[in-house]
Amino acid sequence: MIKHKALLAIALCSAMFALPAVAAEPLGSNWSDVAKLPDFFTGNWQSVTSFLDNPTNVPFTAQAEAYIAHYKPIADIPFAGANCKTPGMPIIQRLGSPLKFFYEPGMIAIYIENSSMTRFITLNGEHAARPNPTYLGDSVGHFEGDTLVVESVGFADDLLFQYGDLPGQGKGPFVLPPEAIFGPHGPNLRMVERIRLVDPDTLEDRLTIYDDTVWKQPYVSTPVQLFKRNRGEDGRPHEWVCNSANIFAFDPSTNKTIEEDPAVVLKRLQQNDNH
Amino acid sequence: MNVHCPTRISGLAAALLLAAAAFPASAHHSAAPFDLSKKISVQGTVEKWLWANPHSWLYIRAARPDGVQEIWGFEAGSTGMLARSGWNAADMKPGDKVTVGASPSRDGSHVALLSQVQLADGRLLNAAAGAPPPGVGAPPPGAAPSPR
Repeated sequence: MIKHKALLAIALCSAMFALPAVAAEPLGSNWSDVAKLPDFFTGNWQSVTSFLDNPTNVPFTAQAEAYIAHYKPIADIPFAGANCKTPGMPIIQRLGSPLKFFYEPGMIAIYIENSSMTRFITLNGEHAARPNPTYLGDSVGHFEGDTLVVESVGFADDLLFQYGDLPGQGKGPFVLPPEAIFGPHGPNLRMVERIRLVDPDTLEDRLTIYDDTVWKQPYVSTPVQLFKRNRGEDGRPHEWVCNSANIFAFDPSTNKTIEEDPAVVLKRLQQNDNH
Repeated sequence: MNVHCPTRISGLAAALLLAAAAFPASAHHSAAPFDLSKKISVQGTVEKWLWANPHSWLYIRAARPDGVQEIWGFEAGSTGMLARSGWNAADMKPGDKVTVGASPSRDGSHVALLSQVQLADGRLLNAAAGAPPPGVGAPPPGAAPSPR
């Protein structure tokens, strides 16, 4: 009897080993993964690098060259105008106020304080079959070791999309809009970010842009975007309601900056207060 | 309406980032609307402390030596960035006496980039650029774009 039981146990064990191996779910699929993920989540991340690129030396397509030949610099970005129109990706992440990361199984969200917009990155999943155009794109991501790799597609036509810098311009540590070339992107625009911790309080976001209507080869964004971590109370995100006082600084329709006499602005504000 | 040099909010953002990253202020003189190499001090009475995005504004009434009253507008950071620097919407109210430190605009108008405010009770509100996160005072390797 004992011999039979032993044989049965051996048979059962053999059968278990013969079962096909169940593939482990990729990182970011379960709540238990929280402890395994790199800590993007404590506090928030404040950009400390230029919001426009420099240097930009990827060769242009003939189509882009033709566009650039007639390009007129813009005095500022539409974000500085009425309603603070978002520049979209990637510039909206770089405008100075912090980013805040959140996680749930299958998703990482990034709250962008500079607009109160939030990116939703599907982890270990697929793009929407027919993504509608958006300013942040349709994003899917996965972890390669400690690096979050995010691919975004489906962008709105009117992103503030930087091709490069005007000749001789953009050499300073922070590139300004009049120094840059902006233009339309192609229908298959794709952005790939590789996001990782450089150290516990520094996060980098390496961006490569694929658009064969603009560049002859993938565009590697420089400088590498760096963010410093705010912890504690400073790490809490704040709300952002833009132009809440109807004070703005740029008129995209005329490409002119605006500076009202402070006495005029004050009178308007005080009149509003009295209503 | 006066027109400043061409990069209003973006220039300010760059100036704030410059301050936060401790880069030489002179790096942006040619483009910023404010002359970061200069500082002015203006004493006056608060007319309006506007806690707002994309930027907060402090409006004060100041008297010139000849007695003429002037309205000055000082542009500050966004509400979130100011809050991280210890500022608060309730810090100032109309009638308060303040002394404002700022970088003047290039065109000589009564608009300036606010850097600090001395309140009547002696408190000093500083770092209008927002709370520099740990380590920003000394940028990590690669933080500063390499010159071409």
